[in-house]
Amino acid sequence: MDMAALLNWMIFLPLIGGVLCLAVASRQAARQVALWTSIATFVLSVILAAGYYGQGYAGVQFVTQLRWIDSINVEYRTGVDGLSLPLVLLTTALSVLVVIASWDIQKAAKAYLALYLFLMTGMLGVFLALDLFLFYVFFEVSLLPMYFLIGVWGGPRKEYAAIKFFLYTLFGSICLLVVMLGIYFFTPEAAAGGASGGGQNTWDMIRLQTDPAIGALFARGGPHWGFAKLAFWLTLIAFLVKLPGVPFHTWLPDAHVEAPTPISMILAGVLLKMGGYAMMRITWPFFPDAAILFWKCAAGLGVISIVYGAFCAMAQADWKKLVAYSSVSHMGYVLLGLAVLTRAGFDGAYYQMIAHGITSAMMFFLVGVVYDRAHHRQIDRLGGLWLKWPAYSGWAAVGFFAAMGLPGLCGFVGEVMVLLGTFQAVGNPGFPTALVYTYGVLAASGVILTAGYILWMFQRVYMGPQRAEYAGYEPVKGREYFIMVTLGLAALVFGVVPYLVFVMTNPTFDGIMKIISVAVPAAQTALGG
Amino acid sequence: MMPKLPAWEEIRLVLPEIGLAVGMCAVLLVPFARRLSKSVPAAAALIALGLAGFFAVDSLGVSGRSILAGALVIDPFSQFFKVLLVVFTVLVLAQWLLAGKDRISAADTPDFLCLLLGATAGMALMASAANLLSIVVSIEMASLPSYALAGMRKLQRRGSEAALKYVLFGAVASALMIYGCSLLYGLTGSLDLPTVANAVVSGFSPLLGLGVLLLFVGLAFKLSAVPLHFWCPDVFEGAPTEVTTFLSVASKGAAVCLLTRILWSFGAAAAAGVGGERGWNLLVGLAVAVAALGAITATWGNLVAMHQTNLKRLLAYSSMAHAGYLMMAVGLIAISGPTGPAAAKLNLLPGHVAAAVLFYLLVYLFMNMGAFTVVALAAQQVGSEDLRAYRGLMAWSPWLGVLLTVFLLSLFGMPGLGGFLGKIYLAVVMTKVGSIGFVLIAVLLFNTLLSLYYYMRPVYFMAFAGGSGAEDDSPLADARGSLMPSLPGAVPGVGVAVLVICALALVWTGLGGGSGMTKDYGLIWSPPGQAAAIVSAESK
Repeated sequence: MDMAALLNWMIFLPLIGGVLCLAVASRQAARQVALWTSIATFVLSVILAAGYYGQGYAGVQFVTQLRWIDSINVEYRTGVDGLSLPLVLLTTALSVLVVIASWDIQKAAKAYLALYLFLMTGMLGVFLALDLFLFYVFFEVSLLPMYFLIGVWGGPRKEYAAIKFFLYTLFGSICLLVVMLGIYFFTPEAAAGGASGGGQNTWDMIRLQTDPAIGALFARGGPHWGFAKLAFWLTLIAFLVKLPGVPFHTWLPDAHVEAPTPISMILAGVLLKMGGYAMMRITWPFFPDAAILFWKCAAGLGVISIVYGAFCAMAQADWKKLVAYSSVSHMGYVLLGLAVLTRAGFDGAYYQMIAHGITSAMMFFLVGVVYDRAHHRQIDRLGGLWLKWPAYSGWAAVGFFAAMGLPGLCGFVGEVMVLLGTFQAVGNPGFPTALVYTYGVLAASGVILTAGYILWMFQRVYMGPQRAEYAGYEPVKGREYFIMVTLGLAALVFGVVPYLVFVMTNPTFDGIMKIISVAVPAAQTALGG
Repeated sequence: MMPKLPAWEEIRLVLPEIGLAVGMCAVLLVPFARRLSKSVPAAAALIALGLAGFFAVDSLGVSGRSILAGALVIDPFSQFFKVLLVVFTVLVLAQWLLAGKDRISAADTPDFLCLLLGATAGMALMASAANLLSIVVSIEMASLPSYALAGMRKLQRRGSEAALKYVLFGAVASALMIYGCSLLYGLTGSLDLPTVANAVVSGFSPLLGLGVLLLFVGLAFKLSAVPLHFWCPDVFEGAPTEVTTFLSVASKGAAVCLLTRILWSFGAAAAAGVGGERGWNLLVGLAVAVAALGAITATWGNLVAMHQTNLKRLLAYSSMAHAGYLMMAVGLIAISGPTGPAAAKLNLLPGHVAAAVLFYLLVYLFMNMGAFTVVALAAQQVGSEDLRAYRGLMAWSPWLGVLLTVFLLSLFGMPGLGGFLGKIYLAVVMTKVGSIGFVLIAVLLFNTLLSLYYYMRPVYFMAFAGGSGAEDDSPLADARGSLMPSLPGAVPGVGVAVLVICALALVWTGLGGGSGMTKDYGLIWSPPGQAAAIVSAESK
């Protein structure tokens, strides 16, 4: 089959599956439909990866390009490159596990599964869209199923959490929309070569990154440098909300605490990555000069997220909230790795996203397994779980230690590369040594804080004497083991063979780094070397 | 100039309005043959609307001309609006057959239909009006039947209150507007809008300014722009739902079209080089004033909508917000043009604005129609329009709930539905006027964020609250069984049809449908000698 068509089928297959879920008669049938839809999507994504391997992992492949809305030059443009493919595989693989984890949802199960499948289409669309307008549509459409999934199937304060999630992320989307309208307005100048009017605008994200004429518009000292500075911040805010980074993170603990376990898994595992992905796709490559100018602020926000998130996590009495704040801390590394503008930092930031996709989903699932039985998540009311369920606790150790960044597990690679990348920035023009070292040391201290809150939590939950009320808990089911083991093995594999990701991303990242590093000499002169 | 009899050519172009007028007479004559029938007058009204629609479609291709001694202008912009208007009125009739028929007695049915057709004819004329006289007449022709329609439920205090408020407000606004028109006529010696516009732009005086201001008062009343908006929520709440639906879309749409035409007549004067730099500055002021009024109206509507507990009232404030969005873009048509200072300084053509307005109205028609139809259906079941009455609707009637969600999301501007593209097109118009435009875009987007809260509140009640049925005290609890399995059963097929048409239209427009069509018909007539005949969005 034509790979471009396959790619589009992959995006919309979950949508079809979702409609089918609503149409079938029984809950059990809907579950089967959802399961097989997600498996089929996963298979398609693997075929896509194989096809991309066949192309030597080079650049953007399998592009579909259709005229869509002529009056503002919107195109339906999808395709895959090294930046999107690993995240697509993460999404489809995690989706299978999420459907399995959702097996016991009883309340309106058909609607739940349908909404989940709609969400999948939204997520895949975000990662595979190459037209900024189309990206925005998917970005926003993916909010809606999430809103309902939290609001209807969530915990006691679900309404509050759902509307907070919606309002925060929508605020971010609107910041992005302002930038889009600016791009719509300014890009015709690139085609016309100067004065306004004449040329056609473009929403093509690849062209917006690579076209030197467009780059010149938004370069330091270019005709729209003022807009570029503003746009950098607006897009940064838009995606910081999603990432989430301090100070736009406060929706996350609420959303996670109220969301049902499988939804927390996908929220932490994939939806947060949309923020990081969009930064790598839009914020940095579109406005590289502004990224150099503001690197201190962006990296500072990253460092604050790392340290502040870790301290917040340490203070939590609610187990799930602890895991939620650990996401804030871990995603801080993504922002820091991007902001320092080194190759190692960029690679590390990307790897951190993949690793966090595995570990955060696993952590939320581990919490969920206990919550289903205990019906509370107070850390101080738990303890001694290891004696009750040694096998479960062993896999829990893998999951939590991977998140902690234990060498040999996936969390380690990303964090270390981000730290390396940060220190590499020393000596680059505009990167004062003292500041880089301060950031580096603070970020490194985040690793220790992470070890602190995870080990302390692990001790309180799993160690010590068993509690009497555990007697009535039903044993961990085979289905639950399947999810844990899969994620645990993934944590192990990606901890040992980071090559699996980097082989896909390297050629694409070379291109992106070229865009960013092309900008470095320009900044060099401007900043006085 | 000797008055001459209008040629058949010219009569042919006003056949849509004539069709509606004949329909008005026909529905009043029906009771002589068939007393106390509801369906026969309804059929007569439908035939009249069908004829009007046919003639409007027939004249879509007319590329802009002034007829009846300059009283009316027929151009694709006006004719496209008339097509929309007729389609909309047919849907309103369907809604009435569906939910409102029982509340209006058979004896009142011909009156209701006659008033509805009369208001429709007035609104169609508003879209074409091009001199001071026809502006006043068409606004009155649209307003007077509307007052009576608002009080159609004669025995209800709320309805009477609504009608009285509407009349009093309308009478004052009309008086001011007519005073303004007489000032303009006295000072310029002409009723002809382009001539008046030329005079204002070239030789501005405070008295002329007062005349223009008062003319806009009449329009602001129809648009329920701040500070002339006080009638709107009360009338919308008190009037029967089908009348509210009609007023919220048709009346505001016609006023937007008329505003567009009046502002463009000023813009065309400047584009033809009348008034020079001073005239241009005047128009920038006018554009900013209208846009700012729109911004204030939208913000006010959105802020107040947040506190509403009655869904009809909530939608009334939401319609204020949408009128505000439209005004923000329409104001800019005064500084557009293919020639003159407009072309030298900005990149905006009147066709851009006209196309954006038409697309917005196209989408707005379906989303408001859909939302109000759900209100009507639900009110029929539970006898209440209170938001709390919608508790658990999603569980009892998933289809009604999902459809209402779709309509509300489109009103908010969710990508994938028409409302989003409508807003994008308005924003695209704003991008073309530089820094003012970016301020307007910021206001538009800020308002969108505000509106999310109140558009999601009914969804909150429908989907999140109650539903478990345990502590449920909502009236819908009794309606259980009657509402849920009913679609498409007990709810008449007409209702299903209206809702499905609206939802499909929103998805279609959301995926880009209709964009090309509105762009093609977004052609607005320019007076000869002012700007080069007709200007399309393509030409630049």
